[in-house]
Amino acid sequence: MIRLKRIEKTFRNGGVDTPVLKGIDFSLDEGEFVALMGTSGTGKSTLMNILGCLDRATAGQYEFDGRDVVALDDVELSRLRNEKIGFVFQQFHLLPRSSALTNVMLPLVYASQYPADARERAEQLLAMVGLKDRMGYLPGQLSGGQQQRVAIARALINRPRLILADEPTGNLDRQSALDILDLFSDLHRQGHAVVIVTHDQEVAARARRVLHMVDGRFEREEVRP
Amino acid sequence: MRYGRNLSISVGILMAHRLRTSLSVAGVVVGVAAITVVVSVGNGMKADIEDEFRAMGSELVVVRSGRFRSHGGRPHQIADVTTLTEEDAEALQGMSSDVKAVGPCVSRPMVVKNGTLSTQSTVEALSFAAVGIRNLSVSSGRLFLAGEMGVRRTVAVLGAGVAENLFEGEDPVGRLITVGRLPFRVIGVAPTLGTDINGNDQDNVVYIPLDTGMRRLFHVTYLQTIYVKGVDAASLSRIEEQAGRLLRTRHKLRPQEEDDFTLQNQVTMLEAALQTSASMTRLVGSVGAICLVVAGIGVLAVMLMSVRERRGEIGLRRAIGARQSDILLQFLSEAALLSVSGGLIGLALGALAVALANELQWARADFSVQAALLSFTVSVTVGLLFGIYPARKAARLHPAVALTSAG
Ligand SMILES: Nc1ncnc2c1ncn2[C@@H]1O[C@H](COP(=O)(O)OP(=O)(O)OP(=O)(O)O)[C@@H](O)[C@H]1O
Ligand SMILES: [Mg+2]
Repeated sequence: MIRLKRIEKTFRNGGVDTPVLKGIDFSLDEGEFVALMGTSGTGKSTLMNILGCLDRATAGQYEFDGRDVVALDDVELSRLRNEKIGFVFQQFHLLPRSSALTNVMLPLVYASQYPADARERAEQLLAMVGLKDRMGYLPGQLSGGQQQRVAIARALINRPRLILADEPTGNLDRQSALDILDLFSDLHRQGHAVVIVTHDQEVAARARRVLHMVDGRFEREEVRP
Repeated sequence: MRYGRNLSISVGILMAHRLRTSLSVAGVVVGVAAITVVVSVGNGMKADIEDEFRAMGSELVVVRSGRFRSHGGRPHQIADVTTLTEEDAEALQGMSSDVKAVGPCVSRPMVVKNGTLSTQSTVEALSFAAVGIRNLSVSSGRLFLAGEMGVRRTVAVLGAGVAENLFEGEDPVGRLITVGRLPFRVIGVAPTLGTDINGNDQDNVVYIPLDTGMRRLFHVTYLQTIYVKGVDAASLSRIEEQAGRLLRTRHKLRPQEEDDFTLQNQVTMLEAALQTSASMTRLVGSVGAICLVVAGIGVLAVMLMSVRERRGEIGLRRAIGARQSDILLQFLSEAALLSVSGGLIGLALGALAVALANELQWARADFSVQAALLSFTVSVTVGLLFGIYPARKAARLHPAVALTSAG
């Protein structure tokens, strides 16, 4: 589904160059569950942004479903994000003044076609993440774990095939984190490809592939049977 | 369709920041309301002035005895002179074919009594022609008859104010009043006219025949005012010039001597009065316009604050598929929402103030649809213009940076 070749990323700020990614080769098949690990500042988030088409690599090739991502413009990239990728962030990023239901439906606003069953879909997803009786709540009225579940439901509303989660349990307590991880495992079982960034060995243990990043490169890859 | 759904979310966000939103909207409200009210009051003022001159008849040259100087558009007599006479009036009548009618008048402040009730009012003695030129009318009784003039009859037409003061609601027609020491029979009462543009009370007046006034009451041989009606507006400047020459000759003035009379062309006066009121309207109106620009800056400030505060939201929207143009449009519509709602509130307040001003008789205000629409359009345009910069800023925010910098 995804193929990265010799991806490099250098941040340029006021004449100072900060090379962050230094030649990443990576491919991801349909339905794979991959964990990305590494110490702080090694470039995991930077790589996730490039994978999610939120940022462009300085050099290298990126193919998504056979399409050359590097050549896509803003409109095409936005459409690709909308249709094929679901994001889950450490900070949830929910609209604070909108209900859980409205938050889940938000990506449909940017869909090329607004589905007739938008509301049912959102309700179904909220039920799936265990928030059937919290649909009208504002984010501030929900716990961290519940907020992250809303965010996961939102990531799924457009039925993307790839879920990108950058430290989704970083702000959560142990139990909430485990619940969220169970959700990701479920998604993987349902056939979604999942890339998850984590510092947690236990999280990584759920993935079939674990990539260890050091200083902008993949240093080591574990593959479990 | 995608914008419609988004707009309701925007409304929610703006409503959530009530204080901030109302502050930014306040400028627009004040600007639009101010312009609407000012232009409406200006319109009312203009209509008042026009009505006044129309009532007087605008095709008029007014000859006053003595020299007048204009103070803030109002004539003030410098010296009383006794050289303007009935013969002058006759001479003016025969002066040229431009002259349609000539109406001489003389007036004095006097005490007017009905039994124990008395009041100080302006007693105006005028000729039959002057009654016609001045467009005097009565709400009850009748005006002077041609046959009553020139035979020193003691009949009077009361202004509405005098009638109220002396008769307190009773019908004065047919009753006797005393002017000075002379008894007069009331034949009519004029309708309420209010004050003229010079601030004179037009209702505190008693009208009597010219010869009665001159020879039985004031004991004077000279006139104060001669109204000269021209055949049309174009004839006025000719009349002004000819009358000046005629009167100088008749009064035997040497070339180095100044006029002992003053000529006022009503058309010129009307134009001057309208100009004064228009420049007032423009002045206050431009304050409103400045208000709108300030309001635009208010919108700008609120939008910039909003963009800064909502970087996380912007980043998220980009992540879930918003294009740059979607973000641009969203923030532009929020700016438009601010200015449109401010404009609507301003319009409503302006209309209310105009209605109130008329109802409570603070000022005559003719609601100006044009000014209302113009100020509304300007306010929305200003809001949009000042919304462009923050909206572009939001749209150009790098999605990855927006997501991480939001905390
Ligand atoms: N916009 C930017 N401009 C300049 N440098 C940046 C920018 N974004 C990230 N960096 C730098 O790139 C490096 C990698 O950052 P990144 O966020 O990818 O690390 P990370 O592996 O996700 O770390 P963490 O585990 O703490 O989230 C850091 O040194 C950071 O300072
Ligand atoms: Mg990171």
